[in-house]
Amino acid sequence: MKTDVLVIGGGPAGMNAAIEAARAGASVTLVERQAHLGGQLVKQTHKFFGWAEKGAGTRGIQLAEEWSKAVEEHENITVMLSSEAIGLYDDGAWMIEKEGKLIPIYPKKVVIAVGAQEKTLPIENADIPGVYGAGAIQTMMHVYGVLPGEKYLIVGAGNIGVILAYQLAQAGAEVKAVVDVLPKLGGAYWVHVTKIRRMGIPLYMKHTVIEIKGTKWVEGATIAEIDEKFQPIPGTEKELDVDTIAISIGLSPLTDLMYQAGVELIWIPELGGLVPVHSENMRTNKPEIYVAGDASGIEEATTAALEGKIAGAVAAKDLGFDVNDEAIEEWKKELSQLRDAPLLERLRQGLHKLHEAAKERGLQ
Amino acid sequence: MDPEKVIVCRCEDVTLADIRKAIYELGYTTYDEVKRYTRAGMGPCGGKTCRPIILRELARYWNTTPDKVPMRPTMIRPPMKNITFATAVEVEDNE
Amino acid sequence: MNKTYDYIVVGAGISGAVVAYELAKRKAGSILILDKDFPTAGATGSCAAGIRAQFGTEFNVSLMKISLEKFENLHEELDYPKELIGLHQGGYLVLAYSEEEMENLRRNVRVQHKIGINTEILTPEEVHYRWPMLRLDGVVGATYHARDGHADPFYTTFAYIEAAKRLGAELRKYTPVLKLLTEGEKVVGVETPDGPIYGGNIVVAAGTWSTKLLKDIGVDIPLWAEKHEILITEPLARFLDPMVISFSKDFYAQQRPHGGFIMGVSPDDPEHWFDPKDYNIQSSWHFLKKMASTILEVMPFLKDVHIVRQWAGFYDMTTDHHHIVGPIDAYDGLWILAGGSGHGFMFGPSVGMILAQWIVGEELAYDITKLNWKRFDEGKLVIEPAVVG
Repeated sequence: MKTDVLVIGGGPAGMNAAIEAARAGASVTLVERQAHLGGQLVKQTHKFFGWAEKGAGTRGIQLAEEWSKAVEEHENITVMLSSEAIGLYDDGAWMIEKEGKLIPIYPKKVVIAVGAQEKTLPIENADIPGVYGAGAIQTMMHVYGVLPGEKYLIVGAGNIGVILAYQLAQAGAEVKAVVDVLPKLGGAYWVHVTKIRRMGIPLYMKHTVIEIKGTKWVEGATIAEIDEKFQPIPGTEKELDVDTIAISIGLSPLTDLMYQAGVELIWIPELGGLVPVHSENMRTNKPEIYVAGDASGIEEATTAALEGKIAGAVAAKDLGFDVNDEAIEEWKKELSQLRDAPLLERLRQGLHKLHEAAKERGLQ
Repeated sequence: MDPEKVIVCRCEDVTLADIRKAIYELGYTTYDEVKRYTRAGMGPCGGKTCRPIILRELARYWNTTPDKVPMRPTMIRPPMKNITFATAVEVEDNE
Repeated sequence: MNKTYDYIVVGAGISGAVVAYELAKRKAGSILILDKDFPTAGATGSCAAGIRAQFGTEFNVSLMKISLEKFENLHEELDYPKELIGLHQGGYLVLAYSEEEMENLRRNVRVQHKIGINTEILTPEEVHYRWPMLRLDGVVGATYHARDGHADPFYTTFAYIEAAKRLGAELRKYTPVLKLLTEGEKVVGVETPDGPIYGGNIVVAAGTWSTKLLKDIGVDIPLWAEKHEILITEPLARFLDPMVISFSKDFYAQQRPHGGFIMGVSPDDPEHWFDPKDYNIQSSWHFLKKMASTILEVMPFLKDVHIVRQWAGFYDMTTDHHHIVGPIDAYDGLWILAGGSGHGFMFGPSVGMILAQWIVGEELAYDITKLNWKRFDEGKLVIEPAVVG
């Protein structure tokens, strides 16, 4: 199958990339591994912050519906659901597996917007049932209506950890503690923090989990305060009676397709670890490949959507389609406004490293 | 924390101690070598979970960052999602 | 700053590893093993690591008999954990799909019996009785040799390298040989990115990369890289012991000790290259499709089993599908062991040992001198009827 632009991933970045590339006149194939579009937005039952003009006050699931409607209505976009890119092959095919069939796609341009994976905590017993990624618990709750346990420890007080604590408490679970190794809160929006404080959920900063108890499933956990070198301080241990541990120590971009395609990766911990080197136009070292959203560096849904728009429009432009350059500049401006929030200093440091790297390599 | 009990690769049951032994005692100091010696990353998930941890361990050994750890990109092998033989025969190749 | 070695072995696949070890064992002198990547990074690490004595010429059966004996005692000889070398002698089951093919197999078996390789000839009914899970549509007969099997290609090579190191050999990984250095009619060393390394004898065991290294000093050998592909499945409880192969259908498939099925099928028209700059090692979906449809005919139980990984590697092919071994007498001190043509791993332990004997002037365990590099020009090709691919 041939297409001008193949967009891999139907989250906020991918949907918007598809819309903008299609709007410019390109034929677009959008591949999403779930049976529905939306990506992580479907887990976001809370209202958004930060996107003052457009998204604020809107819940993630509503945004997903709006964008997926725009995608499905556009005649230039072919949507492939329950479809997953399984690799890049020697004849240039991006192979898509869809419901027991393989479909080779030969695109002129590819936008990789596959999102991120949760980082795992390499500690003893982290492989027994009851230890889950925070995102997995959100999926169980919001998509399947299941709570995996009753009493929770949440490891990591970033945005996802804190929101999960709130969502779990709302769902009737008992959150015994949220711990984080940092001395003060970084990524979490204060509104959510205030909510969980009001609910009486203990938040332990400069703490980590040092022991997961149980053999067949989680039967408790021990947390402790840590020193500057992240080592537990003896005597500060606290035993927690929990049956479920949610790990939300951060996300990192999904890079497998990028490795296969020869996209250069660079280590920027502030953006999630190994991230693809890319320009503000979302171009990579591979002229046919663009990146957007969490796959290009961990941020959040509103910035992912803007990156998607840019990637989609620039890909179409590079194919010779007529694209409104002013719109692209406007999206870039919106991105920098969003990234200007005081809380996001660490992110800005990461982006600075990224832009320096892109500049060194002459990426436009 | 006992590295013998920390599972790094769940597919192939490889522990942190196995990884460190391969690197420090046996001199398998690149991602490809560690994969071949320990089998970490050869299971059904293709290394999605263990690769970041192994790259971090190797980065510590090399005193560098994980992006500079020697690794051939061909180590990331298709299909990235396991597919059945029944699926593999069903290629829709109508250009 | 670089010291001078008696022997420089270029390439740390199975061939280089065996030669280095066998030279070290013979106290031949100081030995340096160089690899542009690391041991097993090339064809050895990509191969299916099958080991069979079911060949069709006295020559190959004899060499494989020596290899089998080597493999059977390797853990002791190299002092390496037996479970890692992983020799598993589940046999090779060779299926015949026509009377003509069966007749060839029978002829091969007669040769094998002469050498002391006790291959059985089986009817389809006997095959079905032993391995009822196989679908035998079109099979007219088969041969089975129980001592055939496979070993772990990584650990086997690592074991040889470690043993060589214990005997004083040195290994330098990530040190590509840019050029063989010559003075007049003699090799004197190798050029590397870290500068020259000098050595009186050079053994080129660089697989498909050997061609370019030799061409650059004016030696032409008919050895090229041929792309072959392979896949492995998720692990299943063990239930199929032998490697199942067919020469006419060009496939092999086998369940590994850890449970995954590993298999390959030859492409109709294999891509091939002489110059490494042209290599393309990316996997193809054509292989995936051909492999799946081929194997489901014989192993229909795999239908819903998951394919975990596929990869490509290079056979180092020669005109007559046999190694090129021995001195390259265009230069003093220059030796070669390459061109296994898809059988480099299984022949490695015997041919590598015999080359070491040749180098130090010992009596050869088996006469392999006809595998010399001049045979192509002299029209003395070595022919083997029983090959996949």
